[in-house]
Amino acid sequence: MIKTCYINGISSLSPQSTVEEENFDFQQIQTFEKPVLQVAFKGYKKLIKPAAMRRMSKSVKMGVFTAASALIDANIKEPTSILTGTGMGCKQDSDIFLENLLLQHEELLSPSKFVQSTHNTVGGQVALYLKSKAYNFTYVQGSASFESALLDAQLTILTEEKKHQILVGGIDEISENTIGLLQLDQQIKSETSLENLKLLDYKSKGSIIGEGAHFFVISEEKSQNSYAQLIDLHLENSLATEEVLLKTKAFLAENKLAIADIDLVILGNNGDVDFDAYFQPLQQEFIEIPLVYYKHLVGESYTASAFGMQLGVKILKSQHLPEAYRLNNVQPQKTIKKVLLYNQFRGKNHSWILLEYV
Amino acid sequence: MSNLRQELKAQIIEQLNLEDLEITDINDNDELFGDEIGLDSIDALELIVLLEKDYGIKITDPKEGKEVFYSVETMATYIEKHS
Repeated sequence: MIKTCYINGISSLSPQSTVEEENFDFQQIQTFEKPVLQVAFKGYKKLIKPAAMRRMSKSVKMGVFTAASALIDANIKEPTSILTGTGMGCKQDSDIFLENLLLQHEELLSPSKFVQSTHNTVGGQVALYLKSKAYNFTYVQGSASFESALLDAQLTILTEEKKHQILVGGIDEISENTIGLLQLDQQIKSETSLENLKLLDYKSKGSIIGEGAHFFVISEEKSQNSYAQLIDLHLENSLATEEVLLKTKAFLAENKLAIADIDLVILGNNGDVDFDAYFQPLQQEFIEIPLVYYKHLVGESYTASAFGMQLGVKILKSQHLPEAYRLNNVQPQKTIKKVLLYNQFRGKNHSWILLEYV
Repeated sequence: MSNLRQELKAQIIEQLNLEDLEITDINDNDELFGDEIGLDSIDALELIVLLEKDYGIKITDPKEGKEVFYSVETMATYIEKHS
């Protein structure tokens, strides 16, 4: 029997969250006039006790909160696996720990900052919060981190003969140090006046950067709350722009689908004039169906595609195409059943995710 | 309240990120690792670092640490005796 992966719970914290509300709202769009988009949410106390929170950096708070919230959404208490993907890990505490290391000549360092600075801190803290001893793995694979965790979830469900409730998510936070480095490398746009909603109009180097945490509960069992099915995903490390369409068609063919079978495409355009060319072949090939993008609203990060996937499953469940996310003006002609996501980061780590309506 | 005890309370609150506590919430004889303040094992490590970094006192015997870090009063007494 071919198993299916159902997405039964979701939760997201992104620059689109408000101070009070975590999950993004299609109607209430947050706008920014700067290239660094941060999460403004302050309502962590809804789920995390202050005593537990006092040592948590932003990424840990975001991760624990969204993991717990996704489980509540799926009505699940104990996950069978906790899989986290993060490109930069707990960057803020890493910076503090390394600065103290230099200032104090490698002596008398705060143990808390060390404990909280490792990449797998979020996965560990989620397990502590849930008192879970389940399989717990953190993927640190640059811009393929979330996809690697998702691949583990998919393979676990497809290959193991038992019931699963897998908690899988992507987390990354911004630190002052990161901003400086990315500016030096021209990965952040240098325009003095910048509006995030016009991101694709600037035609300049770099993008806007963001942060966030996005968790999913995935199972082989459909539930009343199921958002969508995860049909398949595929990763390629390095490609030329002219290979993207061929790889896309091959991925669809592996799933017995053609271009015409896709109802909606979600693309990872980030406005970087050097790399948005990777999305052009798909924008042209899928010209007759609705196209959606999201990085103008949440910024670029190593795990931004996890937001893209939340967007996809929310569109599938609601059948609503939010205006602010649209890349073209094509209206859906029928029920949106199959959604294809394609993302890449500076020409590397190309990923395709295929979702289906349930 | 002596300056040292006051200073220790401020350092504990800052170093251990006890954001919800004020200096006046901690009594000199409150049990730091009991129900009153509720510190844990990572906090114990932070207190060992604090004592060495700010007062030049090194604690090497774990049994001694348990007694020293019982309360702000025991910490202050130990600092006064060893500095």
